[in-house]
Amino acid sequence: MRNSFLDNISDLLLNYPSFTFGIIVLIILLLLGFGISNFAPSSDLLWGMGNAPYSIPPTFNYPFGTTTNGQSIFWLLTIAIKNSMILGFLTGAISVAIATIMGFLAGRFSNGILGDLLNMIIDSFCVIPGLPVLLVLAFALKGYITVVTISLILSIFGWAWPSKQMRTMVMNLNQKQFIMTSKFSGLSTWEMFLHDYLPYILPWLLIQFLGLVNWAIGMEVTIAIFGITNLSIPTIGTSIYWAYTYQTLLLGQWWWMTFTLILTIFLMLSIYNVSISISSYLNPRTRLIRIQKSVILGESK
Amino acid sequence: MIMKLNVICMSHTKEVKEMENLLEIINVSKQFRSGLYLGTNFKAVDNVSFNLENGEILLLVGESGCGKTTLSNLILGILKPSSGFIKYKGKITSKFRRNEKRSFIREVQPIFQDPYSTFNPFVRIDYYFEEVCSNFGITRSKSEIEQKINEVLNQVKIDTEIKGKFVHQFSGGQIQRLSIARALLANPSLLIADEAVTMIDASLRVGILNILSDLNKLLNLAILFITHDLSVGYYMVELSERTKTVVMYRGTIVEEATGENLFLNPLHPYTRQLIESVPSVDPNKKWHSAMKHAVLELEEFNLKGCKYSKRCPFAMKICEEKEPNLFSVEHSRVRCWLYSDTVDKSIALNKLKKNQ
Amino acid sequence: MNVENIIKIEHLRAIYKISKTSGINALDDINIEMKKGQIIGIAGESGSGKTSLLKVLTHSFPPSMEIKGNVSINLQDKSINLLKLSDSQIQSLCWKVWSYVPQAAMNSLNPMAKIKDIFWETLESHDKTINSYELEKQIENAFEKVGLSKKFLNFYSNRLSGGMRQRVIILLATISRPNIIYLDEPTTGLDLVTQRDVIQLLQSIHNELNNTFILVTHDISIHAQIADLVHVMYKGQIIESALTNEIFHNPLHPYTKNLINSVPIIGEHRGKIEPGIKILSTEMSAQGCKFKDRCQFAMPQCDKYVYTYRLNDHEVKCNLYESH
Repeated sequence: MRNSFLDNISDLLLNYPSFTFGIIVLIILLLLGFGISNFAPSSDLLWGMGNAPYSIPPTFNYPFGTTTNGQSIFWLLTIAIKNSMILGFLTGAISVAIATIMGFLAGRFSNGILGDLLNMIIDSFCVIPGLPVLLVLAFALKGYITVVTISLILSIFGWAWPSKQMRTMVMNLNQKQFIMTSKFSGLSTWEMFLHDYLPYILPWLLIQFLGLVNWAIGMEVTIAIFGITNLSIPTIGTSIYWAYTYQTLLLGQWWWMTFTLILTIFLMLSIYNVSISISSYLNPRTRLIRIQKSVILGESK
Repeated sequence: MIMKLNVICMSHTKEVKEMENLLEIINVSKQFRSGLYLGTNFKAVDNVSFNLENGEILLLVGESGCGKTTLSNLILGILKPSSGFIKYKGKITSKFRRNEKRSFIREVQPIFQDPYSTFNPFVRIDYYFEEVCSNFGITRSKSEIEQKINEVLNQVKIDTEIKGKFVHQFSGGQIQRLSIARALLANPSLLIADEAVTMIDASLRVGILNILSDLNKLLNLAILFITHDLSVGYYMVELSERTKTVVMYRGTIVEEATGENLFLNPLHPYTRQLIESVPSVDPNKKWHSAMKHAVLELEEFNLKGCKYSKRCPFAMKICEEKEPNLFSVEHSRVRCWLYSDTVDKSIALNKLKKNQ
Repeated sequence: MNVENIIKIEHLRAIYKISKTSGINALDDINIEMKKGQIIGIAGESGSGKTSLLKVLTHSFPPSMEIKGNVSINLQDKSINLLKLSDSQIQSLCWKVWSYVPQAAMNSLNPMAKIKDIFWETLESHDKTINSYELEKQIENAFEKVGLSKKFLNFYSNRLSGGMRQRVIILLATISRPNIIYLDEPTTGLDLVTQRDVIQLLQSIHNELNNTFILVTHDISIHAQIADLVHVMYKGQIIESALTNEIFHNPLHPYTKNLINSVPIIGEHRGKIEPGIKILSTEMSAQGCKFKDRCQFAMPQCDKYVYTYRLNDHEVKCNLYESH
């Protein structure tokens, strides 16, 4: 890349307000989730009994109020954010990795047996109904559920549709003349992937990744509401589950559900904004114009 | 033409004997389906045969839709023939083993029509040159790579620095030269130039054609030169020693000849029309006759008889019924009933005399 | 102003701005008077500014282009100051006074629409009062005149070949019988036979309408075939202008000579044609003649100024003729 990484980031910050908003909120949430959560007292690490007074509204000592069992919602939510984010990013990463490998190979070798076989596999996974199978799997593995296992389970279905799109994009790019030039320059398939295909699929990959993060967070909530997960680990889903099960809203104890939802909304919004602004920045056409401008400005000095 | 089947040796070009067939196209056809549902099949390339010898320049001429691009894709291996086969150095290309495939993509190099899509706009130009050197085992040491790059740049007459530069920093003509330089670096036996100068400004074409002709003479480099412009073709024939011209129309070969014969003595009515259609740079020499207007391309592909019969001013009854064979006439071969010994062509010949 | 002139361009300058301070010079002091009823050819390689000139004349330049100078169009009853028009004024004039066939227009036909719908849409958007039955008759007649079969009207544009599509485009541009027709590289990308067809079509349309054609192409032999006079452009300037016969039999500027000599002629054994100019380098000359870096006749004074030589209607910017 001609411009350095710092140049790109400052460019983004200056010109894309959605990026600025998203990255700031995301950094705050990351700090909360991965920094501040480390200071959580031992009583507030898992859902259970705590030392605080039951169900009190937000005060100075308990900024988000307390649970029905006397735990500080603030600390629990910082851990919940951490776990949900880990879950989301892990699912996103695994799904995108599988989608890229499967989709690229299916697209690159689409006029051969390998391509047809992979395409069949991709289509099968697209068609299998995700939610019922996920619930069954979650129920079957009930004893072994952790953040990591949920990610793995979600990835089984997360990769299929992005993979299909990837295949179409790769098949489109196959027609480009410079792919032929690379082939007759002796480049291997991997090198062509890096240099010729990646610049064009990168923005899409990022959108998919961040979209999958949000999707995973949402799916986790779904599984949790059904109760088919390890209900003692604080996540956004389990927080909603317990706040609902203890009927806190009916009892007028608005703080538990409200703060959970506010944090969730901010999390998903920030991820969304970062994704659209980066992908707009990396869009091949705008990128080319930027490179050309910088070259002309450089040459005219 | 005597075709020799030789013992295959995919080694260095200079070891292959002279006057042997580098590329053989044998009864190649390619069928496509047009239209999504109720589409028709048509043959973009219909039973085409010709040979390209070592160090020879073969001009493939025809208008868009005649099948020349399909043919070049078939040769490069992008498409597979529906019937017939293509032989490179005596071996059938669709049956290549792995190492033969690797040799092929080094020895046969393409030059594409659009300079700006030949190279990836996000990649440095010199990256391609470095890759050619290292991937084809030409050399690995940095200094030798630089030396080789300078050599080929010299051969294409580029004197500006290319290090670290991208495609859009060069003009179209420069990129075509760079494209040739990149191909040269691989030490090829055959260049496939598909409309290589069509998108270059008319005044700059000559420079690139000179380079190609020099390379052909210097390195005994065979070139398959595809073009729709006969004046460009004639220039290449004029400059070079061993050339052959093949004219295609709607997927079939209508005329072929060696050297200047086709240009100075065109036989097929279509070839004549092509030559007449070259705009003269003398304002006093303007076109006389108007053309018969074309019907839909697809209809012409599926004609029972001669594919040119709908546009031909000399079309006879037999032309619409039966496709002519390839007749040998002096230095040429023509696919036209006007040159058959057995057909009654008195009416048509009268028209011909009137025209001349 | 001469009543015969339909367009007058005075001191036209255009700059593509990249940043607040820097930009690329597209047009540098253009002065042309175009007479009514002629086919005016503008020749030059890519980057010479010919497309930019058309963009200014058709008022389709991007907002990042800064334009100075004066362009006026003279019609029978009024004179229009082109650069000072508002968007709505342009919209109303666009179809009636001029029409524009941009580069590669044949590739921009809507593939999802039938040919007759394309005509219908275009004509309706410019003239709401048109009667549909009249319109169909008009289009059918036009088609027959140019030798396109009536059945093509019901086809989608992707079924037609490139040449046929180009004929449709030209028809679209001429059906309203505008005073001026601008054409940007109408034959580039077409094979020889189709090219000849299109040129002959343009000639016949011009004979019938008797309006003004402005034809921009890098292919000098096209100009020889159809243009009445030619302006040769290089790096944003007009370096030579003359009537067609004059410029081809007596070219003065070294660049023009090179343009004409680079065309191979079948049957003539001229041997190797050496490009009479040095290979393009990316240096930009600031003062004096813009061609001096590539000119084999460059003299020291070419660094400082350029002499404009005029003889009758033949004008050339070259210091070689300073002493004439």
